[in-house]
Amino acid sequence: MGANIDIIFKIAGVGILTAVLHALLKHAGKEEQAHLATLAGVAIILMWVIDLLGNLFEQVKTVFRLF
Amino acid sequence: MEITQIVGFALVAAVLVIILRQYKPEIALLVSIAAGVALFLVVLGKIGAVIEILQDLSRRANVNMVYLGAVLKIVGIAYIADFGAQVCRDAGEGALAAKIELAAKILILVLAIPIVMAVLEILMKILD
Amino acid sequence: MFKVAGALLVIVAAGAFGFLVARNYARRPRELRALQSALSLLETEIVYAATPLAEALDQVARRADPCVAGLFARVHATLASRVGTTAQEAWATALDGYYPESCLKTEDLAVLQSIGQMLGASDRQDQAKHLRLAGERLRAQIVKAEEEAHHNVRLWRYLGLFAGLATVLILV
Repeated sequence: MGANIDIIFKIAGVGILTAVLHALLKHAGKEEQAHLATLAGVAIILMWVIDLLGNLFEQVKTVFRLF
Repeated sequence: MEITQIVGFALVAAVLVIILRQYKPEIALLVSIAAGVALFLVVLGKIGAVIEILQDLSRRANVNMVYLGAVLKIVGIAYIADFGAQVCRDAGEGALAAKIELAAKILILVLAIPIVMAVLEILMKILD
Repeated sequence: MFKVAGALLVIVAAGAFGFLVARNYARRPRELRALQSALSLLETEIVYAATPLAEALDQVARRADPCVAGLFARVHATLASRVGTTAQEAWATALDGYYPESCLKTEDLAVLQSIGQMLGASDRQDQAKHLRLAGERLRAQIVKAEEEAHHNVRLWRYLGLFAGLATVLILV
């Protein structure tokens, strides 16, 4: 449970950071970079989430003998 | 108390999702997926124990292991499909969720065919 | 313990980098303004005091803002050493030496280079006119630089800090 809540906080932290970064870059008139920053944030989080999902599917497979 | 942990975890995740949804809906969705996966993983261990007991019982009752395996597979498919469908529905993709459910139903049907066949054969034997 | 120290180091380093970049942006308008006032000083020296160029440059170097005084001191040193260079050459070499350590952009450099072409090459009135023209062009650059600084200073300050925070979050 501890590790799991950690990753939730991590994801939310990166999300808030990208939101702030997006606002900051947009304010400075760098729309392109703002969107790139958002995209980078989403990609990084997606990697973590996919890791988690793979873990989940692996577990479900072993528990329900879905080979 | 595991339930307090789980509820607290879900509440924290919900608050984070709501905060993030105003600014970055796509990341909010990822947070909710991660939270769902985490909760699922916590409960999965317990289901494993239950399944062990079920297997033990079926072994003692001399039920064919093929049937129990099929049932377990069906339950697993149902769990995963339900999870995916709910995530899709959360993201506002109702059509995709419906497709996932349809695929799950078809896969379950395929897995259930041996059992259905067995039941039919028993019926035929009785009728003969 | 080591993790916390490393995280702090990363955040501080990224924040410091952001601050450095922001300071460069903030320094450009200040330098341009100092250059402008130094040019008007030079103009007064040439038109009203009618001092010889080398001496006038020395005067300006002593009275101008320290961040641009180096440029005029350099020209003065070249001219005063009497190695036989013209004022134009002295100005060009001094600019070459001064430009890398300043925060100026190439557009600003072009304005400054245009000054060198007429320095000590014509009569007082003509030189004064050219200096005034350069001053006008510098003023336009100042307006642009100030606008840029206004946007970029805040951006880079936060950007460095947030980049550090993001790195820490991702690496934890």
